This record gives sequence, structure tokens and C-alpha cells, in this order.
Amino acid sequence: MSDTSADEPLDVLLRANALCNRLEAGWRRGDPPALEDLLADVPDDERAQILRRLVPLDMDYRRLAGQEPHVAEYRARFPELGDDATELSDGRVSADEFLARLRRWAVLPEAALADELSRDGTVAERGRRLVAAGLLTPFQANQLALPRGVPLAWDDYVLLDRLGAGGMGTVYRAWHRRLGRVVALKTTAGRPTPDRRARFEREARAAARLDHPNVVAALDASEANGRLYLVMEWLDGRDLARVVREDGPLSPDLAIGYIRQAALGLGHAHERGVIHRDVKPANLLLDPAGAVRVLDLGLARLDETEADPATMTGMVLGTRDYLAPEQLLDPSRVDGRADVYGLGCTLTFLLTGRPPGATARLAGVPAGLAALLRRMVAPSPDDRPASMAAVVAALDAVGRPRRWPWFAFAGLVVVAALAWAFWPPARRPEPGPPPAIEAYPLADPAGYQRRWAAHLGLPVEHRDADGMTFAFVPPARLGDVTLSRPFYLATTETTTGAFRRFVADQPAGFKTFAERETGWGIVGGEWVMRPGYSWRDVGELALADDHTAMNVTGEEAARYCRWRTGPERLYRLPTEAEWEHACRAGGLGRWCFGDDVSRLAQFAWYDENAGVRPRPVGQLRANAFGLYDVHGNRSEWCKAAVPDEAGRWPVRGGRSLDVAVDTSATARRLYLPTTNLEAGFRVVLEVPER
Amino acid sequence: MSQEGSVTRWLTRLREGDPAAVEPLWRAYFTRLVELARQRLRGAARRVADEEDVALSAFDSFCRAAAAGRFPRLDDRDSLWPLLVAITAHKCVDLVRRENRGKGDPVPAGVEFDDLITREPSPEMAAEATETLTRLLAGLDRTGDADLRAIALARLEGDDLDAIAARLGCVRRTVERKLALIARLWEREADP
Repeated sequence: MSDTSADEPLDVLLRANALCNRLEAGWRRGDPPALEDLLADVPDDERAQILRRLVPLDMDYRRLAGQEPHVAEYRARFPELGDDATELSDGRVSADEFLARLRRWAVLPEAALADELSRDGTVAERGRRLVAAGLLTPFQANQLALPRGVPLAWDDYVLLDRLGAGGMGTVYRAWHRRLGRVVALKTTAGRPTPDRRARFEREARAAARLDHPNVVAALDASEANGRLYLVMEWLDGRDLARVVREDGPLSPDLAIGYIRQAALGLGHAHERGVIHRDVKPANLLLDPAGAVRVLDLGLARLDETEADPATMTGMVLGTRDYLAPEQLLDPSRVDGRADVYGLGCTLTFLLTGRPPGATARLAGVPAGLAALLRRMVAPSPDDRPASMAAVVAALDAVGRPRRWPWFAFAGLVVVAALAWAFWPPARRPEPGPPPAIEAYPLADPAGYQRRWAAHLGLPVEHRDADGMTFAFVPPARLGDVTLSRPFYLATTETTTGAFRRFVADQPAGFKTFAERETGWGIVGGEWVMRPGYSWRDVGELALADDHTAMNVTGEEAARYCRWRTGPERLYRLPTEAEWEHACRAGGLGRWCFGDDVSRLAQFAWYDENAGVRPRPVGQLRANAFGLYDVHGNRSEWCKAAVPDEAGRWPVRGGRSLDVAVDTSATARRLYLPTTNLEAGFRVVLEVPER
Repeated sequence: MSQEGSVTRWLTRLREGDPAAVEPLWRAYFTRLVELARQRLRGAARRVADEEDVALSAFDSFCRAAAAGRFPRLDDRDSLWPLLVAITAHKCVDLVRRENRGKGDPVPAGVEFDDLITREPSPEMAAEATETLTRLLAGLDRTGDADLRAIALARLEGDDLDAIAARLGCVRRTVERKLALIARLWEREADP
């Protein structure tokens, strides 16, 4: 609370607050008032106090708008600010300190660091340059520049982004600099004491024993920068609290499916003596493959200092939320049935969208399910299902789940067991063994594609409910890589029209990165990055709904896929191997049709026939699998199965402005998924397991 | 109200004294106090309007965090809980004084924090706690800046400053400014 000093009159602070509100509202409308105008009615003796609050706020917003404000300029405009206003500063460390931190935290690859050291620039310029080059995330650039920035280096982990924080600590996305693995790193609040260390080690060790597809694994635990921290598997998904907040209450089928998975994960933990103690929607994560994963297992008590029995016994607490009553009486003696209670409360929330409690209505919930819910949240543990296995059995009895969920074990799929039983255009699978998985080059790609599709009873081309067309991509061996699972890939990049439907369905206030900050547009025949350009507007191009959706970050592309995903439809970005296989469509040449560059213009928009301006999708020839624009027009976000050391995602395929050689099947760039590109993306629709 | 020191001084003591030493007592006492307050509010919430519902929700968050072993920290400068608790404690000291006076006991020379927290909190103190929070929130509304109440509740529920800023669509500096303003307003409510 260092923002006010106790001797400043409250009424002045209130007036300053009101003026700051007006300034901020103006900036948000895109029409910021001049500080001089705001100060028009302020008495002279209050001007300095009020300016000391308006100026830093104005500077914040100017920085967000890409400007580089300096305090000196404000001092010149407002002499009453004086020179002794020490709390006013440009809010940035010196360039020397910035570089020293870059070196100390070893955030950049060595070559990039050497390059940066050899350049000139202010802290803001350096930050922008490194972010634009995809070498730093905006979060990293900020922490490097802020006087009290969070250290980015935690032993071998480098922080990439802050995900959230509460009273107990802060969670970051980070990567391991040697293993190249992206992880979630959670720092605990408060300095470590011997007691805290001991408890921390004990809990972390218990958590490390868990290994289950419905549990988020703990990977590491240590101490750095004066804090204890934990490392967990990184999953790019939404927790169920957010799912309900964004999508509304779930159908009983979907809710049962999710809770069933959570129960399987919790059952595994209970068998190993780990009780969660804090089961709630925010601790259940829906991962990109559609599996529910239990977060923070065994870690709920990490932040508790060693209990003093004298004070603990008197602590009688009750709560209407997710904690079982017995947990409040004696936290040290709860068993797995406390988690059954929390899971029951969570199920209520998924169904009603409201926190559990006396007011929760269960309208529309089948009677059997409502009865099970009441048992799960019975006040006495003895009245609840005795174990997670009992919960699963009871859920199965009420829900008759259909093979839920087919994608939870995506990595273990046996190809022969695939089928398309429930999709409308389903055909009867051909009897007999599956076709052999052929190695590149494929002798008859289209025929091979048809044989595999027919074997599985699937159409070669599929049109989904949103009108997006997909081509069936058969399994294959490409070099060392065996793609054992077939999939559907959109025949074109996601269009601006499709993206518009996605944006329209997001919560109020949703804006893409480009809309919030800055995007790519064509100005004077060149691509430039400026505020105002986004998927809605790319400058000198009459953007039509059948143009590729551009100005999309990798994360936004992934969010689009999550938005399309439903209980039996998993959409995602292709992996690089999938993308390249689909692009090549059986051939090992430079392009999908071979090496003859004179044919390229039949298949791709590139600098000979297009130039800077991209064209609507699907106008040229498709490759042997029926996919359009794989070589030119717009490059496409993919998602690496294993991210590179900096957590970057691949962008594949050429662009309309590229020369022929840069549009080949191996064309590839790497960017952090937070980077906004003029590229587009194309989505995979998974073939489910039967 | 009280001759002995302002809430600010209490807070300084809490924060600078030795948080580690005070913490166990603080937890034991105030979790019970907050729970008593919550039970009282729950009874009232059936009849009374939203005003008390939000107070209930804030207390519930506190109870949940406390039962899971996560306490707001006394040394967290941006947390409003120590302030709220200190204000309540301050009122409770006055209450103890009045009770003692009513019994004809001599007014204790210095009923202080340490004395207070070795006693069982009384229903009167719980009532004081709920009324304090309700009144403090209403005080924020009187400024005409609706964000103040939203920020105070979000902070009491343990939300991070950046998360609050994102939700309100403002910059972090604004959340910091308003938190500081909330603290000043509350301190004034406590020590008029």
C-alpha cells in the first residue's frame, strides 16, 4: 500500500482517483483526454499530488499503445511536478541492468545474447525487438525491465508467463533449459522455514509417486530465489471452473464423463495414500486431448505451516463450498471420502453453474444422478460412497457413458480398433485386417487414402457442422516417423468467416492479441505491424470471409480448436509430422507434386503469381489427399509434440510473398505461441477410437 | 473511539513485530472469530439482502482457505485481510473494555492484542466482525466508485492483482491505487 502516504488528505486522494478513472476510461475508448484538460478545475495546491498519480497512469497506457513516454517530458509540461518527485520514474531499469539480467538469467540462446549485446537501444526498444523476434515473451520482457521484476531463472527452469496467483503462491509457465520441456512452475508464498521445508519435501515426494492419465504429474521440487517451488507437467487446457464460466453449465452426460475421469485419478491417488483435500472445479483441468486431469494432488497442504496441536484442535470451521464437514473438525484425520464430498460438490457446480449450497437447484438433472449427488455430499462420511471405485460404478450406473472419452489415451491407440461408429456419414467398416501402414514414397496416395478410409468405414471427405471440409489422412511411415493414427485435416486454412463465428461466441470483452495490442497489415504494398490491424482488418486488402484468418497467435489458434471441440469431436492443431505428411501426400519431392517448379503456380500462391496480397482459400489445385494451399498463400501454425527449448511452436508452409524455394514441404519457422503472425492455421479433427 | 493507538499502529505491530510468532495465535483466534461471524451471517442471509451475501462469500473464502491450510499472510502488504482483522480486533478490544466496565471490574490498563487472542471470541465479537465488513463495504460504495467494492472483495477472496486488473479491464497500477484508497478509507472508518 505504498501508493498513498498517510498525511495526504483523503478527499484529495478521492479526487485523484476520480480523475484517474476519467483518464483510464478515455484511453480505453481510444480517446484519452489531455492531462491539462483533466486538471482544469483542480486547485493549484492539489495539482502536484494529483499529477503524481495521473502521470504514471498516462505513461502506462502510452506504453501499451507502443509509445515511449519519458518523465522529463511531463516535467516540462507541468513544472509543479518538481524535481523531487522521486516516485516518478520511467518505470524501467537502466539498459545496463537490463543486459545484466539477460546475461544472469540466461534467457536467450548464446548467439542471440551476443547479438543483442552488440546492438544499441533503450530498454523499451530492446524489449520490443526481442519480443517481435520471438526470443522473449511479453511477460519476460516486462520482468527484465521492471525494477522489481520476478527473477526469470529458477535453477534450470526459465519462466515464460504468469498463469495465476493467489494467497498461496504463483503459477508460471516455464521451460527446462536443457530438456526443452515446458512445465508449470509453482512458487510458494513466504520464506522457507525448516518446518515448511520438511513438509514441502514430504508432500512433494508423495505427489511424485503418482502416475495416472487423469492426474497431473509432479516432476520436480526445489528451492531458489528464496522460495520453495514445485514443477508440474504443463497442460494447455482450461480448468472446469473456467469451462463452466465460459461455456455455461454442462449437460449431465458431459458432467458425468468429466467427474468419472476425475474419480479415476483420485482413486489412483487414494490407493497410494494421497488424499487431495481440496477437490474443486478449479483443480480439475480439461487438457487439450479432452481428458480431465486432477491438479495439485497431495499439495493442498503445502502452504500450511507445521501444525501446532494446541492451536489446531480449537480450529472449528465450516464452509458451504467444497470442503467436507469432517475436514473442518480435524484436518489431520480425513480419508478419501472427503474427496468424494468435494467431487460431489464439483459435480453440482458443473450441472448448475453455481457453487454448491442450499440454493443450488438440480432442475433437469436425472433422478438417479440427483440421488447419487446427495449421497456424495452426505454430511457424514459413512453415508457417502466408500471409495472412488464406488463413485465410478455409481456414475456408470446412472450415466451409461459411451466409452468415455475416446481420446483420453490417445497415445495408446491401436489402429485396428478405430472406427467411426457414431458419425452421421458412417459406413460399414470393411471386414478383414487393416491395410498395411506404407512407407514413403506412397505408390498410389489417393488409392491408399481410399483403402484406409473404407476399412474404417469413414468418408474420404467430411464436412462438419460448421461447414468446414476435411480430408482423411491415412497412417504412414515418413522417414523415422510412424504416424500410426489416421486423422482428418481441414482442406483449407481456417477462414476469416469461421474465425468470426468463433470470436462472436467468446465471452464479452474477448479480444485477440492483435486487437488488444498491435497486428499486421498491408500498407504501401508491405506488411507492417501497427495497432489497429487484426483478423478484422489487414490494411490494403479487401478482406473477405474466405480469406485465411490472419493475425492470430498460436495460442489463439489453439483456443479456436478448443472452442470447436465437443464431447465426441476433438479439434486441435496438427503436429509438424502430421502437417508434413498431409502436405506431401505421399511424395518425397520438394513440393507435393514433385520437383518441377514450373508446376508450382498450379498449386500455390507465391511471389510469381501473387506477391504481398494473400488470396481467398481453395482456388488452386489440391494435392493428392485433397488439401489446398499447403505450399503458398499463408503459412500455418502447428504444434510440436515436444516443444523446442524456448517453448516455440512451428509454423509450416510458404506464403504468397515467398520465392518458390521457401514454399517447399520442409519450409518451417519457429515462434513463441504468444506471437502474433500474419500466418493462419488449419485444424485437425481427430478420428476417434472405438 | 480509542485512546490507545490507531489501527495503523496495530498493523505495524502485526507486520513488523514478528509475524511468525503471532501467526499461530492469529490463526487460531481469527479463524474461530470469522467462523462465528459466518454462522451468524448465514442465519441472517435468509432474510436480508445481497449486502450480507457478499460478506458471507468473503468469509466463506477465508474459511475455505483456512481449512485447507492456506492463510492470508500477515506480511503480505497487498492483502486486505490483516487490515480487516486488525479493525475488527480493535473493535473487540473496545468491546472487552466495555464488558469489563459493565461488570464493575476496573478497566484493564492495556487490553492488547495478545490478551485478546488468548480468549474465546464471543458472539458479540462475531457480530462486530460481520457488521464491520458490511459497513466497510458500504463505505466504499459511498465514494461512487463501484470498482472499490469489487476490488476489496476480490482481494479478500485471494485474487491476484493482475487477475483483478484483467477482469476489470484496467492496468495493474489502477488496482494498486484503488487498494491503497480502500486501505485509507477503512483506516478512517476504524479511527474516525
